[in-house]
Amino acid sequence: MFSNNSDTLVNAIAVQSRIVYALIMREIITRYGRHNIGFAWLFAEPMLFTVGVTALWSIVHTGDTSHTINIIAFAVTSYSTVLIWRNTIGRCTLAVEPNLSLLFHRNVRVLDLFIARIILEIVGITLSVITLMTVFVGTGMIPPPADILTMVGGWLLLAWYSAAMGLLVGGLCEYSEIIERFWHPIAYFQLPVSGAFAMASWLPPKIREIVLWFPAANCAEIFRAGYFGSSIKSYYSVGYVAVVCTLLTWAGLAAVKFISSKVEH
Amino acid sequence: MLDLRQVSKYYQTRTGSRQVLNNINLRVSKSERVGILGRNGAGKSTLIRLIGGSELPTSGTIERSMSVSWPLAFSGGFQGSLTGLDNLRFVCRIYSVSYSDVVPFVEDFTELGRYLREPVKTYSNGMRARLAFALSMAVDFDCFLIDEVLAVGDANFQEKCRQELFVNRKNRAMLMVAHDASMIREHCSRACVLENGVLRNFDDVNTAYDYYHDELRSSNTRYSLSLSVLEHPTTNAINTLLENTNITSLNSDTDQLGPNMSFDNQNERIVTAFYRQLLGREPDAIGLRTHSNWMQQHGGEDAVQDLLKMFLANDECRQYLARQDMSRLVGLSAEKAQAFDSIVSLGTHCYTATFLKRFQLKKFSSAFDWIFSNPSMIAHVIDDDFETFLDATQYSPVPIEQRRDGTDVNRVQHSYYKQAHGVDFMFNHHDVHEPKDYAYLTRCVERFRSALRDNAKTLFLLLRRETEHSIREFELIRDALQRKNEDVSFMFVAVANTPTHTGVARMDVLARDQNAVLSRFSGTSHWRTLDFVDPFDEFCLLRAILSNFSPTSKPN
Repeated sequence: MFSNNSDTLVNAIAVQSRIVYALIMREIITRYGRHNIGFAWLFAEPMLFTVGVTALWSIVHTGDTSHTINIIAFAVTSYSTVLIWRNTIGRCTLAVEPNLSLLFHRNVRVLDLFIARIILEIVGITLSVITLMTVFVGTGMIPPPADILTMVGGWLLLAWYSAAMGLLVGGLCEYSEIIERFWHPIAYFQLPVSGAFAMASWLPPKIREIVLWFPAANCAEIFRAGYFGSSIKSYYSVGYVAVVCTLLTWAGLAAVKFISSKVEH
Repeated sequence: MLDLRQVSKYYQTRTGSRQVLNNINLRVSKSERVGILGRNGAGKSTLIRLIGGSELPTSGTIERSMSVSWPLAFSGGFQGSLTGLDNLRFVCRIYSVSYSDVVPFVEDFTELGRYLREPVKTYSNGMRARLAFALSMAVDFDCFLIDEVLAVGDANFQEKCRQELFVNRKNRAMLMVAHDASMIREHCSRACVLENGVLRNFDDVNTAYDYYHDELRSSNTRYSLSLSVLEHPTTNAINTLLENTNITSLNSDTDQLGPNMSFDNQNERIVTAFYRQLLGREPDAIGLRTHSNWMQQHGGEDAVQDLLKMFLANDECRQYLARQDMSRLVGLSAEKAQAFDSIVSLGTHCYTATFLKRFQLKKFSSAFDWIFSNPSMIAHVIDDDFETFLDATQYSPVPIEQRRDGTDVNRVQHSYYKQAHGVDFMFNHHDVHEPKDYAYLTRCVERFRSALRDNAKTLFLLLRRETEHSIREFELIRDALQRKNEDVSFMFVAVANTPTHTGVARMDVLARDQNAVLSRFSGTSHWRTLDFVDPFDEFCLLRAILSNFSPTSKPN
């Protein structure tokens, strides 16, 4: 039964998992419907994006001999990192408004709305990347990854950063619409420092230093380091990213808590 | 059990923080049915949302040791692009109910057929309501929150809802909120009245109903405006006025506000807002018409400003606002709690009841509250135990052209008391020929009787102009009361005809016998039978009355 005595942690986790699951299922149906491939769009959509960008880069960089790595592999490993932070944080903007009426159910909290969207987005993109890599490796278009564990580590770190930023930006957007308007240009101008378009080792040391202030760039470096292994030189600091993510998580949760008490319906 | 302790709720508005609920205490035990009556804007829906848990109180605690539903009949909560069944699936998931178990019930109850597989945005309002109700019935709650529910849909649907709620789930607790009392009277065992964010608990539904009904009629509503508005009649002040009155949602209330209260236009809304905020009452028909016509002719932004200035220049308005400010300053709540459980009016016109109401000391509606009477009649009524009083054959309606003070008052004469005691237009406000008003009167009498009979701590109060017969009048009533109950507490305040010239109000005890006191009160200003020219006199009067009975100076 639905429990009202959510006084034990286990109980509370059980209730919250149930709510988040219900919200995810609901979100999938609202977003993708039951027509044609339905919820397969969840990972088909980011996959199309990655494939498109990969194709584009392959054409542009044909004959470019300055770097000796596989351009397809570079595109897949790099662009997918952009997708994950950009889509996850983007989904968290204006996440509350369309779901306001759900808050009539006592156990549904504002935080759950964010968690559901974050999980859905991360899972979708992760699935798409796994599928793409498997296909590319299977068909011999790219070599197999050097160190899968390091890749997973970088990916998880990036997911953490995206989730924390999602809570923070999502919470702030609810507080003021101006934040929402600002977020899109900010996300856009962040692209050059996201580590997706160039490896840190290609950059002049001064610029590299600036780029590595951004957690997303560090994560992209780790992810690529795992894929390419010792054939490239990577620059990153796991400790730095972890500290920044911890602070962002704290700020994000605080923002969500703050707006939760203000939400009226 | 559902237990609310000292729950308060504030909302932020453009003009600052606004209190919606003030220190609410409420307890609903298993299978108990409680009704909450309140006008639109009284805070009912906020209260229900807090209990439902979709919003959190600003302070206080809400404890739920049984499962509580979400507010029923709320027709939102649907994602328009999802089908009816998808919405059901969602509800089932969050309340861990088996989807396949409840689908047959929902199909059967909603009679939506294939529409259940269509997006909810294609539904009509009636279809949405059916779905909303069925969803809430699909989950097995211990306590249902019902927010003005069964007013939607056709008779057939309403009957089905009634069957599901009150027959099939008759052992569940229910908390029902409404501005219309009929549902509550039919289904609840107990009721509360919510006014201006304050919840009053009553033991039985009829007492609550009568109290609520009086409230609607005289509408001594308190708002959070203060005298400061007098100095700054700005646009900001006007916005506060309009916002605080919740005027936009008024239309559904029209049946209760009398035939003159359908809002034809924005002007009437504004005028009504001003009446409520600045005079603390509902507009009378003439006032509403005059002011909205005036606005019609002047038009524009300035008209609202000018109207506000007109109101603020008005004496009734200044009095009302001054009273609000003083109430806050003086903070009488501690005093009033001490001596008595309740204070009951003995007449002889509406002032005693009005006075008690202004200070929120009136706990229930009683027999002498809103009628005309005089001391000899009161004594007779008490000795007679209301037999002649309630004798319907004595009632004779007053034709409209013979009504002295207006068409809505001076309604019914009581032949015996007019002839034998000279009381004119005894039933001033109620048409006791109507079964509804007669039933109200009977209940009021019953409450008066039991207040007099039981040894509850009740003070019987009479505020009346001083005459040369004041002492005799006092003795007459005192003896009648004491014949029924020796220990009765009775206070007769003779209000002097001339104010003091010392700038200080004055109260003298003229006679005292056991728990009966006759006092003479002179204010610093003239008494105009329903108020004093200087509202501060009313405070002095109240303090003087209460100090007579405070524990330290209690007689004998």
